[in-house]
Amino acid sequence: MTTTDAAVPAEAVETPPVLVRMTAMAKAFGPTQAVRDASFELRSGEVHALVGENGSGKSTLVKLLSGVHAPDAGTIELLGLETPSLRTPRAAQDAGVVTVFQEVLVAEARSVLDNVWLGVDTLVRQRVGRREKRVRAREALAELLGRPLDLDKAVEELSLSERQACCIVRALLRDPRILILDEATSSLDVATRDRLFGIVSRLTRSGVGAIFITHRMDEISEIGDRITVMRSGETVATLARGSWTPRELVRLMTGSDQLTERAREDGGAVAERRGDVALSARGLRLRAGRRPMDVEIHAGELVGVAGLEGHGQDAFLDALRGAGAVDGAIVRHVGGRDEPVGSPTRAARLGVAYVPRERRQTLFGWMSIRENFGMPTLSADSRRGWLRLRLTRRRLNEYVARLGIVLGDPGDPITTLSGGNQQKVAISRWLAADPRVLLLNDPTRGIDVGAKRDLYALLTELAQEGRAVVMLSSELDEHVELMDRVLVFREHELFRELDHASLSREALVSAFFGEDGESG
Amino acid sequence: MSAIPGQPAAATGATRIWRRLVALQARFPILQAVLLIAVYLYAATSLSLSSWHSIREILTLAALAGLAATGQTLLILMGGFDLSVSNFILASALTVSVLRDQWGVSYEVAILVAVVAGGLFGALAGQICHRFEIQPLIVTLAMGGIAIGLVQVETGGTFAGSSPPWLIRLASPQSDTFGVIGIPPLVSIWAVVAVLMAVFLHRTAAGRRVMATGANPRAAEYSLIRTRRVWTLAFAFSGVVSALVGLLVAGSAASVDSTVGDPYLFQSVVAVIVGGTVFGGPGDYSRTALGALFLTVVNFVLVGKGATPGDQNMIYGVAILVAVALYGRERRLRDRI
Amino acid sequence: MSTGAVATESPARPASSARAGYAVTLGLRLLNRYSFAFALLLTVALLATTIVRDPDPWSNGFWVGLLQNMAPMALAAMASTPAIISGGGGFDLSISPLMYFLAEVFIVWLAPHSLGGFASVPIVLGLGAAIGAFNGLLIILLRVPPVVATLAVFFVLIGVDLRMLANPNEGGYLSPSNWVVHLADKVGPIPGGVFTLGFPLLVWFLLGLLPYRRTLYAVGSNDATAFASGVNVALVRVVAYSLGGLFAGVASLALVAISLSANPSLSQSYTLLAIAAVALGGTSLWGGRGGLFGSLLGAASIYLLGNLLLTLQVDPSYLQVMYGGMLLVAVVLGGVAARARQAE
Repeated sequence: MTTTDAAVPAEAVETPPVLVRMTAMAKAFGPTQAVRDASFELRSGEVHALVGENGSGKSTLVKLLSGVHAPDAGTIELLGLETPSLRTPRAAQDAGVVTVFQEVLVAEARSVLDNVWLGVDTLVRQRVGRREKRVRAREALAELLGRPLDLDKAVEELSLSERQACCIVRALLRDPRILILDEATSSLDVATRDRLFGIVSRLTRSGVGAIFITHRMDEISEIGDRITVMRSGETVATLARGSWTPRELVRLMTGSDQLTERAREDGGAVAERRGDVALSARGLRLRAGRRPMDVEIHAGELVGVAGLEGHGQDAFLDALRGAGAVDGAIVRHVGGRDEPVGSPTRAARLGVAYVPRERRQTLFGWMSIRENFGMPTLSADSRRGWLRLRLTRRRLNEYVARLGIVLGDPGDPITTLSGGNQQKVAISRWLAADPRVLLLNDPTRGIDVGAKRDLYALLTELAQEGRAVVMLSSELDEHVELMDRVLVFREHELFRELDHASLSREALVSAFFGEDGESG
Repeated sequence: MSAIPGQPAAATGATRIWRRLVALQARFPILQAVLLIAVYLYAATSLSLSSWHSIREILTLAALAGLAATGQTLLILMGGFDLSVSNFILASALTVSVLRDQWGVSYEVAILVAVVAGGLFGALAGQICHRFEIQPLIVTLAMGGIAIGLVQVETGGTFAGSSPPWLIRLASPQSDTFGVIGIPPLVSIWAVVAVLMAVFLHRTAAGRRVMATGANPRAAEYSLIRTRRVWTLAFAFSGVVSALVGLLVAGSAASVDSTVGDPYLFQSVVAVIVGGTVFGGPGDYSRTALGALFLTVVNFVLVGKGATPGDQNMIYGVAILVAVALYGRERRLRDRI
Repeated sequence: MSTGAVATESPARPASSARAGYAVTLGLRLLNRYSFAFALLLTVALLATTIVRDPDPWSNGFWVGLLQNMAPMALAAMASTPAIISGGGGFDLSISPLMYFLAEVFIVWLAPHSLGGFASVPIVLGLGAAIGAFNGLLIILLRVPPVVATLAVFFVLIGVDLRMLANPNEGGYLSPSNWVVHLADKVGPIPGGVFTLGFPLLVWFLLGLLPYRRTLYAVGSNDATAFASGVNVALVRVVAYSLGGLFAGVASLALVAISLSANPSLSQSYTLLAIAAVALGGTSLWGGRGGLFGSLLGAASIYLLGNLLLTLQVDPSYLQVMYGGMLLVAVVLGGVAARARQAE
């Protein structure tokens, strides 16, 4: 995919020097191709925004520059050097590339002062004097937060936004040539964010280049000189300030010029299979200070949970499965009774099954397919403690047929299966326990198209059988194709509920970005 | 981002054979069996250990080590070490002797007390480990110290009491099972235990839960396995086994001094690890049994060549390192960001 | 190591526990600043009691005896500390047999070959540091879990100890005129224990003047953060294990000073005590918190308590029970504190 430079302003006759040029980058993690073919350029003095939906590869691309990962293919030109050494974060920092990562990385037990200066000194030599450290740290923190912060306080006593501020200040104190901010504003309040932008402007005016990853449209328009859009591991477009609209951006991110197969039921069939309320959340608050929400999940429904990474969808599913939340109650309505769900074990007993996101969390890596499959149903498959392997085998065969799982021998290790088939095993083990409510956390991540199709068919079938299915997904198409309604989460609140009729890719992405959701 | 690996990529012929071998080795302890046979042949020829008499001795010693390693197998399968084995063995032997000689309690009751105590101490250790997420190594170390301290209050550390004749006969390499079958009773017991353990780990729901708890504690909780119960029972089992081994050790030794349990601790760890059981699994007791046999034969060879207990320990340490370097390494730091 | 314990079972906390939580938070904050606070209180209390009961506490013999007897355990505890602070499951189980190994090197190799003078100090310390570094390299390069790696070295060293000095009566005794004896007695007016105990504290203090110590704590607190910030985590950890070996060298000298020999059948005896002292002193087993001073105080508490019990005519075997019990209590308290910290 080539990048298109759209409408560069004519005033920029003298183009500033290029700080970074990445060409045809590729990076894969096991079977997942995170970055496929990405090219990117950063000029001195500009703030270059990098946008894309979940899984588009932007964080990975930036980590290739930060020294965290080594690229599988592609070249990086840094400050004129053809192949700079970017093998470790230290090397990247020495080359002038400083990153604020998406995860808030702090040494909890250490003080603010230690945290913001972490990694500057060598092990034996102080590169910056003690007093100077205090002065500069105090200044930088005050400039960012607008108020003083106790330098000797342990970071674990700080709020999340203060911790993130520490991460930002840590980067600023490194005198970067290239500053990378990966979702660095996600936990900051508005005033601090504005101050951050002021600081970034100041830096760029003196020649620093900044790469800014964000999901907020308003931030992009405020600060982004240029924007590069990524989709499915590729860079699809580079736009200059003033030459784009949010709608266009959404379209580029979702690629709605691609043909999508719509295998959706019509509204009537959907309404028919909707039954009574099976699970409800009352006054649910996912993070302190956010608005509480009330949600009802009906039997026979397919409910989608959507939003950008880390906006509360996981917390929502955790709450539903009984693992707790900041506030609120989860109630399971079964047999005419209202049973409170206080813990995951209680939830499971009440017929709520949960399939976690990472296969690493659900599967027993060295065990066989059959053993993995049979784990939640151990009690059912045993007589007086004795495992009846025949029962497990029979059950497994049932699901192999039903889900089209491709396997050799059920006694083979689970690792011999492809990702898609592993996922099918993970899901079917819970189906075997006959749950009335099935909660799935991003079940189709990293699996092939065929397996996905099979899963979709299965889930629809389950809904038709009268079960409630709640599925968190990071793929727009799944929401559009499958779901009866979609709950969009933004900043740990239920931002919008899209019903069957108004479901579309554009509507979803607009909601992610907090736009007013007029679809194209 | 990192997934459990799916299909391996296509490979050349040689790589494929190698991969087959590795896969096979993961399922069956072939390497260990081969090494065992090799070492035994060497011992049989160069040290003339091929007589039935010698074999009985080897088997009996291996049986003791293997039995001591039963609990250790479970614990290592769950990702921890049991450092209390030596102390529980000693404490059990001393307890029984004290109860009999000084308190006049019957032998059967004394055994019962020792076994129950071992189980309770173990259970407590398991509870503490799970509840507070502390390494089993530390908690078992503490428990072992407490147990031996309590017993030594009464006994002063050593005893030269007598075990009942039936126990001495049971533990002797020269007796026959039930007086008839030409195998030492300890070995028969060990064989039965090995079979039971195999059945337990592979064919019972409880055994499956143990394996699951070790393989992936979080996933086990997700699969509604009560990991706390598993830990408590596994530790209790290890305590009981150590107590029983203590009795057998007392039966096969004329006197008991404070270091009598130490070799069993070392051997239990080495037997499990060299047998190829990995921290958190996979593994099973048959590997431990092979490991125990291998260890015992190697010991004979070493002793025959004039090696001291010190040499044996050094070899244990190196063996563990080699085994773990081959089998059980951790993820890289950069993959965790 | 994960037991799956905390992860999925705890539901949301009700607001009613807020007040109790506040008090706990305050207590924890104090403990975070001064992790050795608890051990300090304990030591002061026990020391006061001991002084009160002693017929002549202000004699020099009192302090000399106290420091000399406490030294090996305290030094073993201090030697175990850097590895634990370095985090990542960091642990050094091999300290106790290492102490005995270095002691035997002194007795069997150095002293008989007229290297038993001051020249022995850099040799013993250097050897200890080298073995410590070896431990660190095993852990970093081979990526063997620290517990396993140091357990293996533990076994090897126990074997070496037995090999080198199977019978102390055969050339395993040091001449009473060797200079090392002063470490257990007096050097001029100063108790010898001040030198042995003071050495690690001095080194630790000096390291605090360098960026190293701060960086070590950061690595122990969150190694991913340290790595992402450009710290050479591997080097920091290897140095930490090497320090442990270095301090074990000092411990070996203190050991030899008291008994003029090193009985290899006792080579494991400091393991439990060292860990108990470290935990009691406020060093978190998860890394990133605590310090050498806390370990010293923890050892002092254990020693003083044992001493007191002996003067109360308590059966010495109860001491074993006490040691084990203190270890348990110390790690459980540490676990509770860590859990409370997570819940904040």
